[in-house]
Amino acid sequence: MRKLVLATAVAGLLAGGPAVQASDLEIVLAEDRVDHRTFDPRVTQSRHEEQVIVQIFDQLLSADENGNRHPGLAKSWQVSDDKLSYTFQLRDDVTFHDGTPFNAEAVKFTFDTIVDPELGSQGAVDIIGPYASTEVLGEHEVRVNYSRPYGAALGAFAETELSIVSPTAVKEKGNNGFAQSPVGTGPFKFVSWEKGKQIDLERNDDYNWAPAWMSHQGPSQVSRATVRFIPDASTRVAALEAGEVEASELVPALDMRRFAAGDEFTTMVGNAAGLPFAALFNTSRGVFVDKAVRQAFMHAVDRPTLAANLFFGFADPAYGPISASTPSYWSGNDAYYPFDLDKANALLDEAGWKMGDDGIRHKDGQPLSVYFPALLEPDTAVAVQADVRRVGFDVNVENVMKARQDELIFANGYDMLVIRWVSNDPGVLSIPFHSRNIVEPGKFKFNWARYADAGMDQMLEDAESAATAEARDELYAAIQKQIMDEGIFLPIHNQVQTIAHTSELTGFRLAAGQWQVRFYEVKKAE
Amino acid sequence: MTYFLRRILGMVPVLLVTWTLVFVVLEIIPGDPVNLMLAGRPASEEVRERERKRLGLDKPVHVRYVSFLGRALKGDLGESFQTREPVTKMILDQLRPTLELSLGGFIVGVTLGVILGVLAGIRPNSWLDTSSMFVALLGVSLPSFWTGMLLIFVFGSTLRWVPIVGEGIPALILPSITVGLFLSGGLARLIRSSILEVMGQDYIRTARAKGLSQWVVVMKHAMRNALIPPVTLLGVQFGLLITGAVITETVFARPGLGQLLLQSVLNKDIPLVQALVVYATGAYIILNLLVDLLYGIIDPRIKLEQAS
Repeated sequence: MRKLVLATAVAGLLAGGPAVQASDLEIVLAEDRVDHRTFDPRVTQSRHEEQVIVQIFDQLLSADENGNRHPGLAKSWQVSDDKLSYTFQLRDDVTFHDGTPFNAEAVKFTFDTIVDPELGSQGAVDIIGPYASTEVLGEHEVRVNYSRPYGAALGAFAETELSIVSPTAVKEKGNNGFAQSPVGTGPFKFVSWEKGKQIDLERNDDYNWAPAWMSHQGPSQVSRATVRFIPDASTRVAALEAGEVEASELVPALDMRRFAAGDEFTTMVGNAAGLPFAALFNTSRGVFVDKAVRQAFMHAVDRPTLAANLFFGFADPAYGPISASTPSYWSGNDAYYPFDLDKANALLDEAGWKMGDDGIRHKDGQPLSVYFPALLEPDTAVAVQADVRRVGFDVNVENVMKARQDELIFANGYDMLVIRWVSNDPGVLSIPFHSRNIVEPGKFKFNWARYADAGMDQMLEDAESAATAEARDELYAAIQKQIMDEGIFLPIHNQVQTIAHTSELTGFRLAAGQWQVRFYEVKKAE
Repeated sequence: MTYFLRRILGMVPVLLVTWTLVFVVLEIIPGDPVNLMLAGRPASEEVRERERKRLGLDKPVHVRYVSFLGRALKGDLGESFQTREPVTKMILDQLRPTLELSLGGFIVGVTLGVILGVLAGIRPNSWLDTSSMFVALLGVSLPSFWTGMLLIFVFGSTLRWVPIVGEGIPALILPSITVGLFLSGGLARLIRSSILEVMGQDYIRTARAKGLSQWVVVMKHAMRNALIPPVTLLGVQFGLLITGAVITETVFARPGLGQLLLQSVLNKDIPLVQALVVYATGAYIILNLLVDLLYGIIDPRIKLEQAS
């Protein structure tokens, strides 16, 4: 059993240091994955690896859990009139965990190495956009240049993937070594990584540059934080109840309900930004070639009931191509495709699908059949299957593995597929809806609807390089409306991060994107 | 000595065949390693192409096979697609937790298996026999994930006697019991039938006639002669354990080779799978060798030279 030790409270007060009482909490968070590969923010694209990275690193801009941007390692910034350069004034009181100073050179090094093929970046290299160069204007001033206007730039500078790394540490350890023992400027320092088991972090006692929006300044009250990899959900819950871990992620809905009803544990739900849990309709083959059939399908799915039955209120139904917590969400989405069996039946009647004696509709001797390979949440797929059966769809759900799904995607051998995507940027819409992302032989991509529309492509590109936030919002609203009108994407429910932690502690805060949990503000509950 | 040399050399063709077989199977099963590595997350075409090149996947199959094999013969098993670490290091990292669990499970399994087997064997068809065999049957029949969860529920969450995912020996108790229960089942049944057979032999009657106690008759005279079949079984089962008990590892959130193998296959991390195959094949061959040696010690009538 871990004990919560209040040790240096008096010392902290006497020193007149941090504004809050210093204490030595030790916390363990249970995480569901075991196959972490790297903790280099420049390389990763895994939200599980980022659970560790958010504790160790800071970014130029700091985003709160709602995606609002605040000064971070940069105190202020200016955007040039041509929208091609961003100038940042950096904090001058920040040091890396290895003792070297954070400065303009570190920013330049981080961004230059991200675009260097040598590094093998999987996430940051895309997020950084049409990056051209970084100029060092002074010890604490840099200018980042783009080759074309990039409206997502400011958001990108707040992303975990664009965290600033210690150039000295990277040069000393090499890229692979750095991935195994990262060095940043964040509130926690990396201590050790026991492969397949856990990551140990310790407090950065020098940390005195927390973004102003956080609830306190100075070092964290948590002196030691462990991320323990526990792949089995029941074991995570058992370990939490036995007091072996202080918090757990991805707690099953049934346990969340139990914890929420008692006092011993506190529950927290993150509504992940990005694509909600949804299905893409294949517009290139089968019954979904007909828009009316797709729309009928969407009207026949009772999303509020589905979310209530499967998630006990811990996941809200989703209505738009991006979740409501994503920037540039279009509120018009909410009214689209309400659950309406009459409407669904009318649409199908009109399209020529006649109800047969077996409860399945037919047209020209063909049944209204849909092949639905479900990689994720097969229970949700089955609920959808039952819903649409009421209007005459015969859905064949098959639980498939990732490798099998890939094969079906290449062979165009499916009618609908589930998709979800955690991202803080509405630009994520390009991934499933831009025609350049239709799968080609040997090239895996994500436009599984196989939807090709020149107008859509243009809007997605314009939105990405929109010069102002208003122009961007307007374009993304039009994009979302078109996706809904076309009926190519069935939003089902919000992707949720279900956290439960002991009620003895408070201050667990979700990072931007509402997936990772920050340890910095954790303290003993009053 | 020549016997050992022959056995060790015999490993080479076996390794080569399994290696090739696994390589071919990994080629056939669906899935693109680059895509699996990116785990379905966003990545531009440039990133995907570059990664494909880095992993050498842009080259045709036969070229990859030959270069893989060439490097392996020089002792370099390559780097993991996923972590970019040397695969031998990844296996060595997981060896300790795997051996811990194997040993723990082995101790529990052998102890329980011998007790149950002997109790059942010396009093055939008694209530002792029936109940011992019932426990043994439960051991082999109950799936590890179920026993594991049950143990966690009873001794971890409810009674809180032992940690569920903690550190050191205490955290090894429940997983060892989970593995051991399974092991003991088959072992107990084999010991029982083996003892039954031996107890009917003339030398047991002779020992009894000398007035030896039941304990001495069973432990000294019967057991030793009844050990050959159980030792063979244990050799095979220990082989299974040291290549990883993936379900027990998952339930108790223990690192180990089982987890590593599962992840590597799911991710099509070809160098890692290949290295694990080399390890597993090697481990089995060496264990078999040890078992053969043990035969000679248990029963001096068996000579290795003749056995080969």
